[in-house]
Amino acid sequence: MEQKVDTRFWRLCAWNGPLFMGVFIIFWGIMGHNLPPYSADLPASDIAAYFRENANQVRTGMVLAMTFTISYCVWGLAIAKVMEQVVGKDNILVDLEKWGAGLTVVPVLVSCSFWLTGAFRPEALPDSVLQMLYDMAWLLIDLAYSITSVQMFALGAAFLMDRRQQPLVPKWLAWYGIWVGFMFIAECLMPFFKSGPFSRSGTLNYWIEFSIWFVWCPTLTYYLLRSITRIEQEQAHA
Amino acid sequence: MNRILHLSPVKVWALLVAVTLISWVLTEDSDAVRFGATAVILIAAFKINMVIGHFMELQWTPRPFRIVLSLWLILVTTIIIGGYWYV
Amino acid sequence: MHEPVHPPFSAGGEASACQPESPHLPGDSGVWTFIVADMGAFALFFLLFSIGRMAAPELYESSRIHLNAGLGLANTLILLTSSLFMARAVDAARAERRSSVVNNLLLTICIGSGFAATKIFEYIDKAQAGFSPLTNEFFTYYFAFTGIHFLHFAIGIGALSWMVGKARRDTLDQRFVIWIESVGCYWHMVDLLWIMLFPLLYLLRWAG
Repeated sequence: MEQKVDTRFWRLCAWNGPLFMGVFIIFWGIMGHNLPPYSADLPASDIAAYFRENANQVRTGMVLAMTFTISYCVWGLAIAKVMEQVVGKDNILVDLEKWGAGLTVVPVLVSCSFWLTGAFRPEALPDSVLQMLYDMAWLLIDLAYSITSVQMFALGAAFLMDRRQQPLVPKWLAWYGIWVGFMFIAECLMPFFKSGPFSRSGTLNYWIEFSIWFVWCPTLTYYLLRSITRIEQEQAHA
Repeated sequence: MNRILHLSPVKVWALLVAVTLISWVLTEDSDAVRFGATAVILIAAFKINMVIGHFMELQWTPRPFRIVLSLWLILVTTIIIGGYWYV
Repeated sequence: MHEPVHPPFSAGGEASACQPESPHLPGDSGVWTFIVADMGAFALFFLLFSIGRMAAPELYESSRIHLNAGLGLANTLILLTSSLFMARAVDAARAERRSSVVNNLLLTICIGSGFAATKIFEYIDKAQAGFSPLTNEFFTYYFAFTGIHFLHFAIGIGALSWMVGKARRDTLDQRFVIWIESVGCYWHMVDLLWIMLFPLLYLLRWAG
């Protein structure tokens, strides 16, 4: 807006989005064996065997995932800075986006701690407890969707209000984010199914839901980085 | 840009209702179950095409949008009819 | 966002007798991202259903016969009629006839509400007969897909109600036309998804 802003560190913060994603794919997904998750259909002994046989790998994966979970919040704050250049500092959409991004960190962090607990002393815990930890982690991380939806709705609405000739974030991407936030609602069905497309490892509630989000995050980051350059140019010409 | 193709909403609606009722009769009375079911899906596809073209007014839009929705319709119809006959 | 606007349509029942001079995408171009993505999701639903049906045709058929196809037909006709008044509201907006916009929008909502009444009756009826999303795969899909569709419907009713307010106070300019076209295209999408859901769930008989 009219007031000059200091855009230093904005890019660094914006890169935290792809960083979060990369860390989660490698450490939470591949090392933590969550890509894809174990089917909810499996007997407790299979889940217990997973924790016991891969304890150190899961520990490493979760420790790193937990370390970098906060980068999602950092990314969200970078988005908020760009949003302020569209709707102004006082708009509640900026606050909603920040809270959505910040609070998303909590369920992700806590669910990772459940997986980590399972891998901590799996030889001493009964199979059913290990299965329960695994279930808790997945139920929490999936059913926390609405927190992230708030972030997506708020930033989508804000970027749609852009009056620039060429908006900072294109309309289609704003709408796409709103759609993804809306689609997350299918996670509500997840606790009712242990197999099939709505289960935690199912076509819809795992593959589709995670993929559409994973497309959104780097695409938005790309436009954020371009927006920052444009904001700097706008200021230079002002 | 065919002027004849641009029907008023009321005419489009009347046509849609008519084919809906035809497809209803087809499912109720048809002895040839498979062909009846196929016809019902094809009629639904025709109706969707009418809605896209006349209610959404994509008959007169930049080509790519019309093509995307047409491909969607072809895909969906193929999936449903293909799945039906595969059994 | 500011594409060329249609020339105002002639008044009266044959409102769309003339056509826009140049190709024009109705509504806001961004809304189309939502619509196309959403239709993609439903294409996936149709695929999931077809695959499931291929694996267990008897189960799907023995479940399907418990659905009340008459109610499905009624809902198809309700949504088609509601769509008609939506299209008329858009035409009226282009012709800047405010009372006609408001009346057609109200008719769109009133007639559309019949869909909600029928669907709620149908859900209660199914629940009382002992069917739930957990009964079997067919009913999982039936409740999930019609439920998600119903959610779209409810959002549409919300957007239409909000448009009524806008139509009463705002000037019926180019911006308003883009708004009403966007809501209109969304509402037609709700209609067209039901057009395929209805035969898929209620009418596809298994030949045995």
